[in-house]
Amino acid sequence: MYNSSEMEGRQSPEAPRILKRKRSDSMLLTPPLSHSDPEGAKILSRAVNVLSTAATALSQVTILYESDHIARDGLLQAVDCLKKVNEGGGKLIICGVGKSGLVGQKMVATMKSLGLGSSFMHASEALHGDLGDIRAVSTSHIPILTHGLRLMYLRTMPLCSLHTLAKPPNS
Amino acid sequence: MFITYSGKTSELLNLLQHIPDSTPILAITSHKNAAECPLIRQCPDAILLPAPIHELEEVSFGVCAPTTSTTVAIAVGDMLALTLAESMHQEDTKHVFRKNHPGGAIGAKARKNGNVVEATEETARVARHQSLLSPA
Repeated sequence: MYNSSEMEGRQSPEAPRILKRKRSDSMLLTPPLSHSDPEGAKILSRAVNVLSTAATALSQVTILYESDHIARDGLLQAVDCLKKVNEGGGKLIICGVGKSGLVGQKMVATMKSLGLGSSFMHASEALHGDLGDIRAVSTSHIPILTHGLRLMYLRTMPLCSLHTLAKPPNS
Repeated sequence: MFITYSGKTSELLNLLQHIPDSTPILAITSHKNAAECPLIRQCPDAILLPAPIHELEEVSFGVCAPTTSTTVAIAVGDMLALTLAESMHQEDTKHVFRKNHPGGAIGAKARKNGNVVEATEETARVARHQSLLSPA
């Protein structure tokens, strides 16, 4: 509902005035929340509880990877596996749905920035063609550079033999 | 690698039969051992990376929205990424990251500090390379 003075303000092109209703300073309807009142304190307490729950969870998973052999073996096996995959020119494909999918996408982004081969595959898209992204990587051929900078490939040689091959010729 | 708190996300379980047997499988789940995880029970050679939480989200916050579980899963993912990067790039990790991340404040800061650090890193890298090639 507009009164005539408000209408006049809007219709004047030279000096458009937007008329606001003045609010009386003595009539604040709801005081703003502050940490000193019970409602504000309760909200803050529950909010901080979210952070402390996260901190506790991370602290416990830290202890797990410090002391549990399944977790520790899992990490070492994962690093070993992914190292071979990367060295073979392959990549890690990460798959998840919902919020786990978003966690996966964050992991892909972090890995890419660290120069690690990675991409995300959505479980639904996988069934509609993206499965083709899964390709075998040869981890039985390890590329090495000889002293003469020629690229050679070894077939599953024990690591100690690499030192022998790294010697310059005629030595 | 599958990321699934429950280990029984149907969309992921349905995928397993379509993945070649020779493909290594990894899983980040809430389970602390393979026998408890439905997904890993279907592929016994899978590598398990546990990401458990100490208390159900519904108990902590009154709602089972993924919160604590996603925080822990992200941390486990970061642990894997950084550990792998260090294993592969060793002292070059910082250099690799800087080359891949020219944008934003991170990139600007890296360019500002880059010249001094690059000279030091290049010296270290050359020394390491020479030590690998020398007949020991």
